[in-house]
Amino acid sequence: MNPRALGAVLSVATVSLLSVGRLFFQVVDFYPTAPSIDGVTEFDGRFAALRGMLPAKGIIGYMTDPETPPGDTNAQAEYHLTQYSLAPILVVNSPQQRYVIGNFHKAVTTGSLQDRGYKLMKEFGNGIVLLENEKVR
Amino acid sequence: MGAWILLLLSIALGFLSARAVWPAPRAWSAADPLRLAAAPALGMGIVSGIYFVLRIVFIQSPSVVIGAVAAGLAIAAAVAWFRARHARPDIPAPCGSAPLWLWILFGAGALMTLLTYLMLHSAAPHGEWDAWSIWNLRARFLFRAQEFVSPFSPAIEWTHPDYPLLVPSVIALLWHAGGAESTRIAGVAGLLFVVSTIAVPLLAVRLLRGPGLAVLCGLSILSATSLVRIGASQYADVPLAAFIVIAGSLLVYGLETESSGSVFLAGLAAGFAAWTKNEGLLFCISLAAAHLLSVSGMPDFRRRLRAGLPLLAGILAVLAIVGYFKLRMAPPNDLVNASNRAVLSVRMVDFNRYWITFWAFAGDFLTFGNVLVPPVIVFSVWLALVRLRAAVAGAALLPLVAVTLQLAGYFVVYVATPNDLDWQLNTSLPRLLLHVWPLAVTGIFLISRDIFDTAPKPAAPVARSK
Repeated sequence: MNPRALGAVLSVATVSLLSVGRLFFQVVDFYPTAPSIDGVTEFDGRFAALRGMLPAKGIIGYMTDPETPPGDTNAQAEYHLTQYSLAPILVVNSPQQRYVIGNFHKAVTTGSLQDRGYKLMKEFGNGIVLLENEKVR
Repeated sequence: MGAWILLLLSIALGFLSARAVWPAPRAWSAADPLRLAAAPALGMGIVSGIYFVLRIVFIQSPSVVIGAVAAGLAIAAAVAWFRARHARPDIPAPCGSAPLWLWILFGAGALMTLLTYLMLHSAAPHGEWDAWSIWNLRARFLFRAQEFVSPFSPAIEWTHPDYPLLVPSVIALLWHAGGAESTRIAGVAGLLFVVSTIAVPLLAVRLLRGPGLAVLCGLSILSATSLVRIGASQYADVPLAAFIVIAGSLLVYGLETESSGSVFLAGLAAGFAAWTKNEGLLFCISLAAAHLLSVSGMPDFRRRLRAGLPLLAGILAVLAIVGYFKLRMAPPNDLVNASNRAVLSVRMVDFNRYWITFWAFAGDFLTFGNVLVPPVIVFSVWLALVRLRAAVAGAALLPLVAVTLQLAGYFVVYVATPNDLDWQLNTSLPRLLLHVWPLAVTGIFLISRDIFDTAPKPAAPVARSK
């Protein structure tokens, strides 16, 4: 192989190996600090009891803290993860269903929910509740 | 345990199906490593098709589907065994070898990539956002549902119920075979797609151009680290990239060696690309157009037809499934649904949208894949130093033509998108470039002059066809 060709091979190989190596060492640095249980598994676990209560098919509503701004990425992620957890039940991001899942991060009193027309059916801990919308029957 | 056995059956089904349509003598043959490298992706594609027809269309139990996969394997084995008796040997790879130090560099890169994948998967076993909001979510629907209407309901439009089902259906069937939802088996299936994405072009270039360029091709594909990152995220973009590079590589191999079986498999892989993501439909058109251009130089119309029919047959075999799904089950695509002719024509004449899209493409070309030096510069230097092969035409140019057409198609879709253009570009363009990256790299090494002093092939394809 002539020096020109060797230079070409070395330049391609070096760039490739350094690129691969850079990500590898970034991940090696991060990996020991990663939580032992990832966020999705942990979130999924919170819904295990509720999942056991639901029928094999149907539609259920979803609501979160009232002051959450629209388009909030974390709120959207939690809604998507709730659907991931409860499939094959369809979870729609609206309380306009007879049964509604509440996923709250701030304390909500039964009274305040009742004032808004929701009856608490069951509390699952971690801010997750199953509500009945008394306005939709 | 059942899931692992089914995964092995899928790989065997892929390999034996490849041998059945692209036969070779019974002993281990020159192109068998290439068949084996494509086998996981092809096998999972075939299993997914069987799953869709039996489980979703005819509502059969998962055990019937698994039985059909086993029967398919037996049929493929019998056909492969029968056809092997009369098969001509594969055309051997050109003589020559790559320097040992280059193999060592590739081995180091591949090992780091494997470990990176395992660590990323272990940290996020359910994958990242699109995995749990689209692909694995759909797999859960298919695995848990007693019926197949809810998974495609417009009530959960944000899950893109119109997206094709190759990846979710394979994962769902593996879960059925294992009796539980396992993130590990989904991770391994994802890893197999990453492996195919690297191994298929490497082995195709080895057969067509020799081992030196092949190793460099594999190493170059690894350099885009978004491949392993997005692969470990369990997005369908890597399976799509795998099918795109399998289709392109097998098509070039088939055309250069006049192997119609390989061309049929290329069509099948292109069809599976359409069964993986909607962008795959565009790829079927891009590949067919590139193929048409590459054979347009053939003087004899019948020869051109003979070169094109297997490709078309392979594509259509899978598109029949995609068409049934799209027309009978899936709601309309959000991009198509939101576009009426008047609004579309306004977008298409808005010069500003072209300008924004152009600069986004230019920017992402420079930063693509977290490669240390922009790939555009790396390959410009490479080609300037090694130069092009003496005769670059026809099949050798096909991958780069297909990639160019695919990128042109993506460009037009961006200009026409009803979504916020900046958001759409920011969230998807790097992944769309990844779809064509392995095939683009393969194309570059297919047209590069051989600098490893490789001896020519022992038997020329023309002589064989005579």
